[in-house]
Order: sequence, then C-alpha cells, then structure tokens
Amino acid sequence: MISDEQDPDIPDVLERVRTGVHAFDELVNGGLPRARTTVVGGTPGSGKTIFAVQFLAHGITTHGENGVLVTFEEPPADIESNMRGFGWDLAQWRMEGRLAVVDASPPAKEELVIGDFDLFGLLSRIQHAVKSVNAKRVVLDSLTQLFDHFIGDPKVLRRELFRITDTLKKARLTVLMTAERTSEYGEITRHRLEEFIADNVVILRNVLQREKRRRTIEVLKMRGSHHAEGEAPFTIMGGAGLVAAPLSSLRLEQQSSMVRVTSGNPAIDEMCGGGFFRDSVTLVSGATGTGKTLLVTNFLAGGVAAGEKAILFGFEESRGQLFRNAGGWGVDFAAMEADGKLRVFCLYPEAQGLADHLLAIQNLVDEVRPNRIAIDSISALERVAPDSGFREFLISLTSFIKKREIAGLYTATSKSLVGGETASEQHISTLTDSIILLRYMQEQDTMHRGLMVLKMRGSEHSKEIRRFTIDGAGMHLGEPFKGAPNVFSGGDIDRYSR
Amino acid sequence: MSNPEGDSPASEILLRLYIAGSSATSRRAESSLLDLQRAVGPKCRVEIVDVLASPELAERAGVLATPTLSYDNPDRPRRVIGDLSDAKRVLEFLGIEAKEKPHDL
Repeated sequence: MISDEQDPDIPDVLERVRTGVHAFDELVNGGLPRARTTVVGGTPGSGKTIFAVQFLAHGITTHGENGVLVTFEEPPADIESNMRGFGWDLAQWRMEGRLAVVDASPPAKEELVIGDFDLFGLLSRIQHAVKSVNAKRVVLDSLTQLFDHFIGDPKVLRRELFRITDTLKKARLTVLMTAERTSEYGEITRHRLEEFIADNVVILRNVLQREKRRRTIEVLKMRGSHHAEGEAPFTIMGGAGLVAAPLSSLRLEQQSSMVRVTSGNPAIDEMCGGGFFRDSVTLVSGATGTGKTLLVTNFLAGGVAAGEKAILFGFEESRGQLFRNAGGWGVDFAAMEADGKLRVFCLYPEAQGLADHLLAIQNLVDEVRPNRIAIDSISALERVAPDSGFREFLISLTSFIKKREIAGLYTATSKSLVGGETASEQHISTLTDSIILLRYMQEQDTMHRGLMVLKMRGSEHSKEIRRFTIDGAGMHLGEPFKGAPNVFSGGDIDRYSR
Repeated sequence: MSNPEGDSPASEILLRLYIAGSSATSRRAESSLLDLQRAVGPKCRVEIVDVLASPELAERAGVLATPTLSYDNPDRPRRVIGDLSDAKRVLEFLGIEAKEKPHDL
C-alpha cells in the first residue's frame, strides 16, 4: 500500500521534448520525456506517420534538433511527397544534413529465415544515421511492418527491439515509434509492442460517430510523470499537420477579473450588479423568439459604443438576416464593420467538425483580437456534435475565451416554448459564469416574456423575474412578476444551483 | 547499385554475407558459409561485410538482420537470414547446385 508507482531511477523532473502539436504537449507537461521511448498506436489512417514526422519537423525547424526517420513501410520517396502538403520538405532537410532517412521498407528480394538472427544490421544503420546528422530525435514507422516482415519470429523481434530502444535511450535519443492497431478500442497494438519497449503510450483514434469523423489523441501511459486524461480532439490540416484542441488540461485557472463591462442594456447591467465581468462567459437561454439574438445585438453594440472591438459568430442565421434583425432594433452592424469595430462570421454548423469550428474561432479571435465575442447559438453546434465532443468543445472554447480576457456571450435555444431546458444548458450551466433565462410566461390568459438572472458568479444579482417587451428600439424591462407561475422550475433551478 | 557480377564470368557466383562483429551467430554463419563455398566449388566467391564496421554498406543493401546471406542473381535475387546451419536448404533456396554434397552439420 505504501509503494510508490514511480520508478525509483527516474529523476524528479524529466526534460521535455516538444512535439509541435501544442495542445498535446500541454497534456503531457510540455512534451515527450527526453531519452524515452514513446509508442504511438493507431488504426490505419489515424495520422500516426504525420504525427511522427511532425515530431521530427518541429525539432528540425524550431529547436535545432536534427532527426532520423526509419521507415519500414513506405519508401522514402513516398513519404517525402506525402509530407510536402504539410509544409515539410524532407528532401531539403536531408540535403542540409538535418535529417537522415533509413530506408527499411521491404526489399523486392525473396527472403528465407532459418535459424537465429539479430537486428544489428538495422541498429548499426540507425546509429550511423544518428551520427551523420548528430540527431536528437528518432522515429521508427511502423514497428508493425517490421514484425510482419519477420512474422515467424516474434520472440526474436521482441528481444531485438528491446535492444534497439535500449541502445538509443542510452544515447539520450528521444524515440517515437508508431504501431498499428486493428480496432479503435481493442488491444493497444498488434503484437502488444507497447508492453516491452514503451515508456509512454499514445493512442490516435479516428472514429465515425453520428456520421461525423472524429479524431482524438489520448495519452495512455507516461512512465514517471503525470499527464492529462481523456481524448483530445484534433484535426489534420494542410500546411500544419496535426492540430489538437486543448482540453481538460486547461483547468479553470484563468484569473477572474473584477472589471465590469456593459451587457448593452442598462437595466440588465443593473440586475447583474453592474454589468458582466470582463473575462466571463454568459449564457442566454430561451425558446425561439424570446429575444436571445436581440440580447446579442445589444451586447455587441454596447461594446462598440464603449470603444471595444467585437466578434459575432452566427451559426443559425445568415449575415443578411442578422444585419436586418439588428437594423430593426436600431443597430447598424454594417457601419460598425466598416469602422473595424465589429466582425460578423456566419458559419454553417454542419460544414465541419467541432474541433475545426473551435480552431476556426480561435484563429479568428487571435487575428481580430476582440474585447467581446458572441456565439449565436451554441446549441446549433450541438447538432453536429457527438455527446462527449460537445462538452469538450465547450470546455475548450470557454477556457480559451477567459484566457484571452474576453467577455463572452453564448445563446442556447430551448426546445419547448414554455419553460423547458436545452441539453446545452446542462452542459454549459457549470461552465459559464452567468446565466440569463428568457422565458414565455403565462399569466391568466395572456403570454408575457420574462427575464431572470439565474446565476452570476462572484457577484450579487437581482433574483427577480422581470417582465420585458421588445419593440423597434430594442428590449424594455418592466415590473417584476409577482407570484410567478411555475415555468422556471421543473428542475431548472436545481440544475443550475451549483 | 553496382552489380559485381557484371564484370565477372557468367558462371561465377558471388555470395555476400552480412555479419555483426564477432557475435556467436555471426561466427557460426561465417564457418557455415566457408563449408558451403567448398561444396559449390571454385566458381563460388565469398565476401564478408561487417555491418558494425561498414553501416553504409548495410544501408545500401537494405540489410536489417544479421547474419544475412545475399545472392544478387539478376534473375532471382534472394536472401537467407539466419546462421546458415542447414546448408542443403540454403543452397536449394538460392538455386545453387553443389558439386559435392555439403557437410551434414
């Protein structure tokens, strides 16, 4: 019971080698441990070779660490042309002496194996290549192919691979080896390579979920150090390679500021105790037609009026529709865009996966550098998301917004017109700092609209349910309901009360 | 790659053995190969390459395993991996006829 799981011979802090997949490096405390062996397992087409070459490319271009690529499967010429699309010119690096390639792809010759053998041929070729470019990183792609080559002698292969990895580790080389898997959630690798040679195991997955392809990267084992758990979504992008979306590694470590910014509606500011916090995310939830997009419009206009820059990501309505809506409430989006104070991006939720949406949003935010951002609606994105993917997306997006010290506003559409909830609300309620509910309220035989600030993290707020009306000048808050009917309960309050 | 058979008499057989230093299997393969050469006769030439000393030759030939015996017959290039202890099977696989029966080992 007192035994420590860490190996005794591991120094307290392992030096890290960055892979160039930044979000992945964050999951593993800064990168792969130096002078260790990592097995990257994945089904065919999961991106193993790209990840492996990216690890080499990043070392060469960013850290001055040269590399050796040992290819067991594809001939070097094929890999070189396949990788060009990611902006990696292997042939050029080879000529510059920054990369050496060991071609261990199967020869055309017929071969017979009888009796004992070793892999000193391979080892000495790798050592020779390492020496020739003074390499610090070595990739073996893929071990499964090597095993298949010597299919009759798995025991010999294990012994020999152990010798190879051991020799490379002693030379302080950081080794990344790929291995094939037959299924996404079955045994870790064919031949169970990871059991005897890997200090670390990383899994790449490529799963079809609700007709959407979802790629994830997961750290299964990292000997002697901590790593974040769970599958982080990633995409493969031309000119970049693997791009992962940062996940749970971003715990809620953002500094919360006490600076208030306007919601765009003085009465709501007052209900919130003086406005939204600058680096907070607010959820506006309500049925269709309750005024969510109006709140968004006010939020953007209020920021621009205060000299801020704003971005709107629309996932439900077209640009034209959004501009017309805003015009109907006396807000001129076109003029704001012309002044460089506002950018409106309309994206079709189904156009890409959530990981791509996240990256698109992040890229635009970093390009425009706004003070506030609105997403209308977040529930439209839920349509394209497999369940777990949506929550991860929200966590990532919310942490990103808060890290940038931006005020965020999400809208979520509830399915039922009166009362009710959205699945997004369940996901979001604990993630966002503030929640505003917009609801249709029945009073005797007339229908009214009601607004309530349900949660306001770190601040006092009004607990009243306020009546409101919408006209050509926007939203007008009126008197609180007295003895409000039961439309906000039915579980709502309980759900949000943590 | 140069083909050493190109400038030799057509009947000559060149067998190249890739070994790793003086490991036990390498030495066994070397002595098996000499037996084999005797059995085939004078047209059989033998070259021994130590991959530890000449990794670039191993690279050029694409050798992974040691010992590897390579017979670069242009029609049917073949390789045998292992310590070559079963001379009969080795010769059969390479398609080389022995003048005398190889030693039973």
